[in-house]
Amino acid sequence: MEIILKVNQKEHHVIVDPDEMLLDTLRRLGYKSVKRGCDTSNCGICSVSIDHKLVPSCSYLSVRAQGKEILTVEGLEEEARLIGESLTAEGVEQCGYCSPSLVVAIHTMLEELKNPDKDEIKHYLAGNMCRCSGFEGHHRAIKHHMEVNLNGGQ
Amino acid sequence: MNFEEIVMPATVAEAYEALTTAENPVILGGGGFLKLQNRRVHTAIDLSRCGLEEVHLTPDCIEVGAMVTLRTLETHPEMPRALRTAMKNIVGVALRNLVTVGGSVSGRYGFSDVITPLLALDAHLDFHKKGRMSLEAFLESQDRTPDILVKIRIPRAAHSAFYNVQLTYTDFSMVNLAIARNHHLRIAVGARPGVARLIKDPDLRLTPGEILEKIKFAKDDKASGDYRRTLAETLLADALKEVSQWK
Amino acid sequence: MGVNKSIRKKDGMGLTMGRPAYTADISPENALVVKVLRSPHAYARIETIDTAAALAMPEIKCVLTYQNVPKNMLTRAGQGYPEPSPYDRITLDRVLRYVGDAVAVVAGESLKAVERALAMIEVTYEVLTPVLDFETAKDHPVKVHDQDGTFEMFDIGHFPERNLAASYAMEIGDVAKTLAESDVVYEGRFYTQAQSHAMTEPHISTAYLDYQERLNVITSTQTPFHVRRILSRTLDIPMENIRVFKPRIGGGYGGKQAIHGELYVSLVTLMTGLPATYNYTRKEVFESTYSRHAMRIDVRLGATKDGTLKVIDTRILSNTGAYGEHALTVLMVAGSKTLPLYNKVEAVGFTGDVVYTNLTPAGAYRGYGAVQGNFAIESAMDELAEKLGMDPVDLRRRNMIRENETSKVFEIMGEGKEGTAMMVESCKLDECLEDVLKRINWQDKYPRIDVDEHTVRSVGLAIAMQGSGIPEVDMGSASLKLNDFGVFNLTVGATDIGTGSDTILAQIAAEVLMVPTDKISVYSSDTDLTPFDVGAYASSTTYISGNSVRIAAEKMVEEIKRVGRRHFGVEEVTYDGEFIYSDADRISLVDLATLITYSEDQEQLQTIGSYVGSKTPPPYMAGAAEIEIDKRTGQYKILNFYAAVDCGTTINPNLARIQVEGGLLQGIGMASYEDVNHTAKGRLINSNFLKYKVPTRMEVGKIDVKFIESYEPSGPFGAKSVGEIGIDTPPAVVANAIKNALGVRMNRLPILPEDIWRALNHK
Repeated sequence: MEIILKVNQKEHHVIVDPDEMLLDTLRRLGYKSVKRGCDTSNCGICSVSIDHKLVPSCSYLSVRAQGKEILTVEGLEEEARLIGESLTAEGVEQCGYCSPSLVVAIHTMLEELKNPDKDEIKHYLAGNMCRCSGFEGHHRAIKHHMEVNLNGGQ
Repeated sequence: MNFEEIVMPATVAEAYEALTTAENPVILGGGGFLKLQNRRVHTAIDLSRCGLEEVHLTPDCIEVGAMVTLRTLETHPEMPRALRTAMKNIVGVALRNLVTVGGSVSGRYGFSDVITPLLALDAHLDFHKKGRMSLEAFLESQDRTPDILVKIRIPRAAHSAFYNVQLTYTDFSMVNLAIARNHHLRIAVGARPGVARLIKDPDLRLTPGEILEKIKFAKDDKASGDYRRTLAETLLADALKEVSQWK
Repeated sequence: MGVNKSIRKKDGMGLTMGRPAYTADISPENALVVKVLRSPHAYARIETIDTAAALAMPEIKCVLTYQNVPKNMLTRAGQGYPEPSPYDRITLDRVLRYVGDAVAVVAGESLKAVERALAMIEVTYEVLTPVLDFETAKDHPVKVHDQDGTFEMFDIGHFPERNLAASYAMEIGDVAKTLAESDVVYEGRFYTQAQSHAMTEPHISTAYLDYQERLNVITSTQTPFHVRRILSRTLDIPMENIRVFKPRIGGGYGGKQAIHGELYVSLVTLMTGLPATYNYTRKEVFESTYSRHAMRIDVRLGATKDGTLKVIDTRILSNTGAYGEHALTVLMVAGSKTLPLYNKVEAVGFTGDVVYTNLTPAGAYRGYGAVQGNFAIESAMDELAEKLGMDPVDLRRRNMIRENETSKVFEIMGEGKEGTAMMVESCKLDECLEDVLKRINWQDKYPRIDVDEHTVRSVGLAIAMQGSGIPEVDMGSASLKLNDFGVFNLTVGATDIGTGSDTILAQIAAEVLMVPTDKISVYSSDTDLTPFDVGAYASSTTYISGNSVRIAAEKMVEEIKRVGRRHFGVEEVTYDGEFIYSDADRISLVDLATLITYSEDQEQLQTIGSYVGSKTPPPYMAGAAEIEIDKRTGQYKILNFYAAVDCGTTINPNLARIQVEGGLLQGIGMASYEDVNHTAKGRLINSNFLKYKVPTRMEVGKIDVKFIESYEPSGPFGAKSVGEIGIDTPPAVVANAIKNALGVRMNRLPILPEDIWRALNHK
């Protein structure tokens, strides 16, 4: 069936299977930042923002995404760069496979929560798996992003 | 799960019509388990356009549409505390933005952290065809006639709390327990690993072990039955300590 | 210039911004989809297999079974050649030796078509009785490899008729006599579990033929050169017709130190002429790649009354599952990377059998052998201390290895062969221990503090060592090219699996060349374009590959000086990274490089460096944790974990820190809940992330890592390795903390709260 998907403000006319997941459609459309991790919506690595909510694209039907605002790292250019600079300054991106979805999650977190503390940050991101880093560096990086890039910019 | 076609009805009546007429149909909740089920069906019925995503507040009750997500239950300021707490450790924010309360309840999942607090809170379910029934009755019912869950009515409890034990923060509960007091004290124990069971108005002079005596616990790959019982007794002891503080 | 600086990883921003970089991102869009039909039985023989219906589908281009693939024996293990692992499998076999073993391979135009085709393959199996209990597998009447032609490349103690993939024994001094003479003897048995790597990117390989009809393989591997060799030898493809290259990969931790889907996609591409890609499902990653070797470790320690350790005796039974990848080496490392910690003993015994079972194979996983051995030895040390009535920290202080000491074990035990005698020239283990004790405030917290009537807090500690590459085996090489305008290309065989090794190697080159690191572009891991390197394993990249880069860079400095002398027509010049100076004049590197490229005595400057270690200098660490336990249930939480690490010079302190933090969390997962369980019929229970639990960011209150720098004379700028050491201590640390809290010794990993509760209640 043909649907229209709005990804990063751009409309795509695309033919999908009724049971096709958004992860596969987005990758097919060239949004390679969206990665497959577990297939069972448990690792958070395929997460994208839909209407400002973080969702696992591996379990989100493409047909359901019609009429919604889909956001991936590719659409977050400047903010992604700032968050990315904070993460890479710690070296915590490591293999990088979970990084784009983490950046999107940090973005939706900061949309939803005003100035979250470390516990709120850890809780919000608890579903975002990372096997390389031990997580401490994420929290150093997010702290830096909030203190320097956000508050510092105000 | 694979399916050949998907219908996206605009009303519950249309959805019900599809459910009763389509070939080999299935109702889609949030879709959290779609990738886990190795099943082929013909028609998927998507409820996401039936207007079931609203939370409606009345003086004595919160009406939650079946397609309301777990994340909304977690963050909605009017939700009873037990329900909000129970949502916090379910996998992650992304999954909770996907999974719906209706799908969680309809599945009668034994591991559910959603059913246990709703049972303690004496939630009632409104079905399109069968009408209203208590969650307690629904869990015991053997009736599997297809129907569509429209909304869940949660009485406003004066006090409620949720406790659970997990191996990791986002794992399924090894056992969970919710306690609520409105006019009565209701304790629900779930992940036994079977679906949650209810204890109404227990004699609080009894020990936690005595209160839980009739609840059955069994073994699965997470825990043994006797360990689960110990965990439940511990959770209940902690819960009753909290109850004693409730005004 | 480059070294000891926390610069960003060269690939970091691109990866974080989601640029296409991984195998799945850069594979041809029209590649055939490859899937594998997997055995539902733990042990079975294919009686009949009918693929006609699948092949009749127009979308299906190729079906492989044991009937139409080459029959050369291989080992999947990505190791130096000849490998110390048994050749005990063929690409597709008629006999299936575990649930998940490959039955048939299907390639077609879409995933849906291939999945339909898989369901249409009709197989009848003769179901055989499997061997599932590794403790009874040795000399079991059922043989996992029954006269199927397995062989060893050299003596690794391979006896398939006894279900032994490999075996080993050694003795230093007289173990029996020394034990008999000891005042106090502790004897204990420990079990460690299979653990899954759970890297975020599932294994994936893509093959295609280029315009020269050469087979190109893009793959998420830690060992591209080993993959090329194994492909050539197994599939009878001339080596010159294969190119293997690794783009960015989403984690490995040892799980990609073997050949996996490369065999299948290569065959499909060779048979069809079409590109083919095989993307493992998460279930296949769990079920059909491999996990850590589960072990049973018997330890005997003997000491005099004053706490002098006299003898360590270790007997190990290791479970390699259906195939013997890394069977011998993992076993030996359990001794060689733990026994030298206590080097003052008079006698050391070490024997081990690695048995076959009909379970998911075991293979390389970060800290292999060492983490298992460390759990047993470091748990046993606390028990010995208790028997001696001695503080466990004092017992370690008294007996542990120190700088400028050695251990006979280094000489006797290598990886799969004899070791290499080695003087420990850099060791700050003593300072690491004291530092960790101070930071955790051990004195006030040991052994426990009661929080309330049912909650107790306690502390636990362990020390550890690793190595830095395999001496006389691991080889790394690097090539440096000076371009016009004074910029360099560094090409290395080394395999950056997310650790940042491309960046670290550039930092080493920059340090020697005295130029900023961003003047050096790095390209790595391509069998056509880069020099050889064994790959990313055995904690070898910084030390082995780093030394090869240092050598290449030193040669480049000499080359730059040579053309500088020619330019000025003098006997002597100096170079400072920016200019080349004669007595009277100077020329910038930029100008000189441009001159020799375009206009003056034109030539290309390129140097090569190779390095093979003659020793394997160990990094050391001390780890300590504070935990909180509910005595009613055994539920515990790790409040904080402190680590002090001596890895020599930290080339990039940030990246070194993340290596340790990440290693610690994987070790905490192994200590606490990660487990690969099977049903009574041998089917994996936890084959997805719903059931296999890895630590989330909520599991530990705080991980606090500090480096105590030493200087390793043989390492590049004093560096040793840091990739594996972090994973070693958590199992023993957690077990020791639980003992200190509750008085029960947990000797089986993972340490589940229910098991603690049982131990407390004697159930």
